[in-house]
Amino acid sequence: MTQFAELTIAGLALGAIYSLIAVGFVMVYRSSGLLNFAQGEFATLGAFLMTTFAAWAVLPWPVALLLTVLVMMAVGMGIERVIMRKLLGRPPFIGSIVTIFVGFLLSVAVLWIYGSSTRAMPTPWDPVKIVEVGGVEFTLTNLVTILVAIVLIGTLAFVMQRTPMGMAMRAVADDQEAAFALGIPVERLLGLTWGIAASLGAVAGVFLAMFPRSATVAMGLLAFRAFPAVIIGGLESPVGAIIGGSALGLLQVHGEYYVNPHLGDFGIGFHLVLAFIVMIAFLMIKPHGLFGTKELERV
Amino acid sequence: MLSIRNLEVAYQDVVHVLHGVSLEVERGAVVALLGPNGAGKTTLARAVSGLLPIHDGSVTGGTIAWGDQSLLGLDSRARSAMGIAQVMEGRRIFTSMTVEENLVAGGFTKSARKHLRDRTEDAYAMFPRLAERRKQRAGYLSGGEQQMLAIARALMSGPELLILDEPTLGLAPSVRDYLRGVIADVNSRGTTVLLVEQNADLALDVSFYTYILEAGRVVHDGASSELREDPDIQEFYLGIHDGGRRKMQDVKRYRRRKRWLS
Repeated sequence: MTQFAELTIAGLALGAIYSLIAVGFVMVYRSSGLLNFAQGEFATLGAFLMTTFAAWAVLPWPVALLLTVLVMMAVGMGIERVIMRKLLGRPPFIGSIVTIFVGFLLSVAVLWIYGSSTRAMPTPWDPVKIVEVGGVEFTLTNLVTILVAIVLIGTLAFVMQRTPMGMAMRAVADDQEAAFALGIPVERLLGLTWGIAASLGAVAGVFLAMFPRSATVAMGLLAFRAFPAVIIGGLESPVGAIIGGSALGLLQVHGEYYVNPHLGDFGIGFHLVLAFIVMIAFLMIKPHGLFGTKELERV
Repeated sequence: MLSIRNLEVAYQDVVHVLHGVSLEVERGAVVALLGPNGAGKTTLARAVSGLLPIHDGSVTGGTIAWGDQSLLGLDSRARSAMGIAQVMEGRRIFTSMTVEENLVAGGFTKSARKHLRDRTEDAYAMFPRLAERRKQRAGYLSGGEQQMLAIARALMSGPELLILDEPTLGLAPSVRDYLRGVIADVNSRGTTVLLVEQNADLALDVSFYTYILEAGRVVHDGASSELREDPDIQEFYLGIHDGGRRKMQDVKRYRRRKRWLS
């Protein structure tokens, strides 16, 4: 039982990272119909920027994180302004393909600036510190990851649901032309959506690169494992992204412990495949996910 | 005053829809633009409100001016800031949002933000039905209520010129009569209205002046009360004739006579 609780916390922490990535993915999809394949690279770039600010520039950790978020917001808005805006009004699949190349550009930029070596992600707390509550042990990093994700997504939900700006952003997502007709600054709000998606990805990257992992160029692929979360939750639903992300984290961590050992040699890394098996099952049985609408299209 | 001179519009640079349309809308007036399907009514509305680029359309000739300022080259946001608002055909409300959120989104333009509260109250005073449903999802409203919401939402920016594109399309006659009153009401508060319609009876009834658009050209115009008496308008748009069954010969005459229109 203790084992199960410990795995659940580790799963939720991984799920929190997936949720952050998935929410960013869903925001871009909802507002412009694009599948943003560059979302994983936002995580990579964010993680490396964080190592620069926190380890190299020796800024206090929260300041470094804030700076990372702001820079990545600017990067996201810049991508929308320079590349995606040119594709406004074109079929979404064109933009979706373009995001693949945007992702390549970002990972090349990371390679160019940081090289192919790995970097440790600094943390203000002891990364191996174990917290014990009622016999259940987990790392402090896991706890912080979950808390940060809750705060970030909660704030975002508040802005989207309660503020005029959030309502205008949802209006753009609902009916872009109607939003244009009302004089809503559609392009600027789409830019903001990209900025938010990029900074959510960056925060996910920062926590994804923490001990025992580290920041590597291949993190984009790691972050891409969040993709089943979006399918499980439904491409259009932020709530679905959170639930799908958490489910995915739990599935992987529990799967690794409970399923892998029973499969012998075949079981090595099976938990990663398991996520995609579940995704394919969803695509066959419930293709619009748990919270998606029916008229979804797939790439 | 909205003045359009020799306006030509093409989609994708090849599909020419408007061939030199000229019309004027005096400040404070209700002007109707009447015509059959495919005449170019919606295209004209888009040309005024700045929505052509979204449809890959562009003005290839002529001028559009609001007051003494040309609208050509301005985007929809700039035109909205100048006081031009459009209610698009098919209502196009934000279905996943509540009634109130729709109104807030409508009042998101820079100049409108400080009037948000007053105008929301005005909207509810004008449409008590919307006040009852302010927390409901807009997608669950009836067609008539959605149209009320679309009009209320467009009024949130405090427009001087309101373009209504087929507001009565697909609505019950009673709702249509209600909207007739709404248009008069909006106008009496000082908003100029350009009404794009297929329903000639309604258009001639609420407007002061009517333009008839066919195949991208204005083929007829005049004071609405005069047009209502015009035998051709009565026959082609209001379906009034001397009664009795028509002979094939008459129908042929109909086609022949309609040539004056184009």
